Amino acid sequence: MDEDKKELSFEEAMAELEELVQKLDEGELGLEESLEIYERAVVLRDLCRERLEAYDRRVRKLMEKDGEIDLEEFE
Amino acid sequence: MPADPKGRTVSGPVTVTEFNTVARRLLVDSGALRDVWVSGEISNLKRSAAGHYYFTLKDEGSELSCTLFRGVASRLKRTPEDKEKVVAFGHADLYLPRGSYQFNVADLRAEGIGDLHARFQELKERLREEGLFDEERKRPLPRYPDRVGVVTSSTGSVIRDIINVASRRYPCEIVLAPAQVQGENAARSIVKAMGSLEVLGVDVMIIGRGGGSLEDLWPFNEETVARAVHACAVPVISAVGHETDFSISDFVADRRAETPSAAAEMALPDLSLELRHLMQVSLHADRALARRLKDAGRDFRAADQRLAPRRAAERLAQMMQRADELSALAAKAAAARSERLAARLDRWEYRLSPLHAADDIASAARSCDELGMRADASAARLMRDRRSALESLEGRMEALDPLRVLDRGYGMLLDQEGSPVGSVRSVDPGDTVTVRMHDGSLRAEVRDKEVY
Repeated sequence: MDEDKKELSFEEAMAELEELVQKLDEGELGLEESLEIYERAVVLRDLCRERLEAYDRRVRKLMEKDGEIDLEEFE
Repeated sequence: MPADPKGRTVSGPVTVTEFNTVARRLLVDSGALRDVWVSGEISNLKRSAAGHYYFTLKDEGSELSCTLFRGVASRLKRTPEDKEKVVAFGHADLYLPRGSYQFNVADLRAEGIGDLHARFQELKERLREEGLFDEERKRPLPRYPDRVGVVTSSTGSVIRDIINVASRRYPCEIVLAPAQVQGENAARSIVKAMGSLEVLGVDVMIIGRGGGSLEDLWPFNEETVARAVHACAVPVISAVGHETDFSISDFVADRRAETPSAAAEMALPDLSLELRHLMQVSLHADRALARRLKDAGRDFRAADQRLAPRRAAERLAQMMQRADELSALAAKAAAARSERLAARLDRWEYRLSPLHAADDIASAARSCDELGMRADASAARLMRDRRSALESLEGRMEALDPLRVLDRGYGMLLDQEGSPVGSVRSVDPGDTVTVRMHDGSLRAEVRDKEVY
């Protein structure tokens, strides 16, 4: 799951979360499966919230040196 | 009252000032010479100490004195130059102190502007026919971009506006690919910047510059830029110009924004809305799970009720009652049977008592005597047979004898009719019952009863 967390983009996490909630909503799962899916949904929700609240916004400027593309902090 | 040279009466002479004032009013008020574009070549350009420009616009056939006031001149992107072919926008006026007629210039542009319009239309039609503007090929923007590329000048307001919007909207990385947005190299610079962003990898691209004249926006009307937008690996938002003017790149881009801020709003989701959405989604999950648990609980209770101890006790009681009934029936049947057996036993006891046997033997002996020794053997055999029959019967009887149970201290309860009593329910206090034991009977009165 931790590996998962690193790999998943916010968009993917959100998409999966919505899919899981849809499944839960349909109510056709066994109780145990429901719980597993719910647990996963909670992990994804926390991940999404964390991403949103982390607010790591960077503004950078694209530089080209000797044909190599590079980034430098902007401002 | 003076008369004119043809003898008509006219009003008295007017002053020069009065005359020119009327002439000026005619010139200005007619409207025919107001808000017009006049094309020609600049000559005799002079700049006054106050900053006004005076020049003559001329063509092959005529000349027009022009005045370009300081206030207008400061707003122009270019300073007029001698011999330049231009189009001037303005209105006719008359300069009263000198009585000279002139053209007051409000805007001045290079004459090539007409060509630009034609080229714009031509390219637009050509690319439209080629399908570069087709709605079907417009790509949706990513919902949650991690990295947004911006192609614009690093000094203009565009990047500032985008950063401002992004900072209150959504956390992501903004990469500026600086480009010249005006001048001869602009188109090439824009295409190169887009290419660099593609190589770096962005989720969406914004290309833009603040408003400007058709000339200013021209690089975004170049075919190379249009083709680069069309071929771009990621969706492109074009934020060129302002509300009313479209550039070619606006038509080709996947989305067109009226301002750079609007482009940033298109590219980035709103954080507060996303948080609310997330909350709703997780609330939904909570509710769905709660509902599932409730269903499971209900199912469980239904099953549990069938297994509940109270129900079990009820069922056990029912079963025990049924067992009681069955055993009462069985006891009754057994008693009836034992009574029949007892009656038969009495008869057998009588017939097989030793006394009778002796009588039999005596009479047999007598017959024997009478019939002679021949009968002895058969009489003896008869007696042996009878004895062994008796013994075998007794053996079987012993196993069946209910009275043997009585030997062990039990009493059999009989009612007044002599039927066995199988349940306390058929006896009431005050009833008289018979208790039969192995060696006799008791008559007893029931004092009290208790039903289990």
